[in-house]
Amino acid sequence: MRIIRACRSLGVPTVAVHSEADAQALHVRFADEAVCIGPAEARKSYLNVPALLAAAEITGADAIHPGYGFLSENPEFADICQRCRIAFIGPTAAAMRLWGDKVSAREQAKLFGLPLLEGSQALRDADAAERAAERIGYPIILKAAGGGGGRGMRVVTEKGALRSSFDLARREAEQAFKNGDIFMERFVQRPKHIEFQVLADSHGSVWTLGERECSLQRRHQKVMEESPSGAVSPALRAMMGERIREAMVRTGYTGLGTLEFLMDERGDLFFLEMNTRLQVEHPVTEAVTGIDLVMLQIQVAAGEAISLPDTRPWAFRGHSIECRINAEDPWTLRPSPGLITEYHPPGGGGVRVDSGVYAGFVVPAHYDSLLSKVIVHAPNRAEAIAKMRVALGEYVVGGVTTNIALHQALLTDHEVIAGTMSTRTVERVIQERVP
Amino acid sequence: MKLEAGQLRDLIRLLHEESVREFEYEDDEQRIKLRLDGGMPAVTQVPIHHGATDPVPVRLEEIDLGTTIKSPLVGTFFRAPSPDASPFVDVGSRVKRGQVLCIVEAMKLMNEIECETSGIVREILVVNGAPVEFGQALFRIQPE
Repeated sequence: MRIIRACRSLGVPTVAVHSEADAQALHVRFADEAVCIGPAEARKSYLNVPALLAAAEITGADAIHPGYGFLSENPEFADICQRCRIAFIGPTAAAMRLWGDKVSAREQAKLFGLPLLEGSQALRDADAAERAAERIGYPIILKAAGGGGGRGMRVVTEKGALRSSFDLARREAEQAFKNGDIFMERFVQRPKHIEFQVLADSHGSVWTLGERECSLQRRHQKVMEESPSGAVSPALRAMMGERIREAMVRTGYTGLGTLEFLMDERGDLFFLEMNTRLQVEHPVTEAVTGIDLVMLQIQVAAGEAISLPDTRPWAFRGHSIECRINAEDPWTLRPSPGLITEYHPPGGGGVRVDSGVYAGFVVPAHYDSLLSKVIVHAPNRAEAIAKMRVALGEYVVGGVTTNIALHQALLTDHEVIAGTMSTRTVERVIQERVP
Repeated sequence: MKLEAGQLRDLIRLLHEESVREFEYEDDEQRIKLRLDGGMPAVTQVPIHHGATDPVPVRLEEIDLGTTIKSPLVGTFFRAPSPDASPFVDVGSRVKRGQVLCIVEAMKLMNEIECETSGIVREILVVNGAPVEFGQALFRIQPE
């Protein structure tokens, strides 16, 4: 719906492509045309490049908006669109490869003065591990170069445990990825997640649109986001904005992008990775900057020169918070698909709801559980929190279980109220509820 | 508005296509109950007369829905292998399992769509040259 609204504002007709499971999705019903591209299985529908291109062909579409997830950060798909003379609404394949690949992005970050967490290359043996740990300083985390998911990963808090942890990590990595390469990074116990939004057109203009804090996460999935972050001073914002802007200009990035950072307990930022696409939490940036990011993204893809005021130093308007409403049990994360029997979203000044559901809609079991996003905007953070509590109290979703109760718990949590939350906060709040 | 037999037949066909097993509908004039059990629909159409006490069941003659051939991909539907050739099949053509019924063209690739069952072509549901989506009904075949 977000994309359809932006297209409508621009006078651009829309075609919604969907799997059989999504035939009744809200945006499919509102688009000017709809094409079913395959069965529920993503591989045969949303990831089915020939089906997507065929749908563009039979409807005469000029451009494809990849949304987020699926093919949105797939450089091969961007290449194919370009070869078929269909505009891909996103960065170029080259920019995606440069910034989308973690290793390549870290190299770029280094070039442009974006700090990286102290770390090592692949460690040859336990002796090399010990030397690296001395240099970096405990606590450290051992990670497998060949993959993730927690395998080959070990946090080591003091010297005595290092050698055995290293051997265990190596063996695990060998078994899981057939690659026993282990490297080391400084481990931050309670990090904040801070990300910076960029917008660039194809005429050399770049804007940095401030930061979002997304520390409230569960199992690496964001739950609640806000802008600005109380942990980012104007000076820090200006410095990061400058370096990021330089990096985008010099690497010829176009479209929207978000650079993700980890903030340690001292308040220093370290580059993690870049997402070369629109992000779910973009509305909080839209609220505090007054900008329609999706409209601009489409205009950039159409080759237009964007005219926005120079955003240095960026001045925010008030404070915005977003809550992701999922169809799941708030404490166990168990998904709750099914028929929505009643639906009343919140409203009022400064309350925005981006929703994909309605009364009578059956939430499919095949995809992720996001139902909607509630975004509030208020003159300051305290009022934004208060407004969100009221808005969530008004939200009626009958027939499925939602995580609204988790959000209410977070909005009354001392760490969240103080703004001192970290990526461990949500887990703690849940554990306190469920003994 | 009371549904006539022809409209009811269309409704049944639509429900069958959408794989609906049971259907119930009621308004001021009638109550319709429909159950599809493996192809042979059981229909009860009950006219409601205000003040009447006994419902009068009406049985429609059995409707054999046959097999629907659906498009396995997105593209453009063509009845013949090339513009000046004759169509693969017509209504009434006898077809064999595996026989090519039509082309669905996507990105300049001609995909031959094969028949899943032997029988007779009863209906061709798409106009030549029209776009089709995944799962769209193309042909109705009466198996034999």
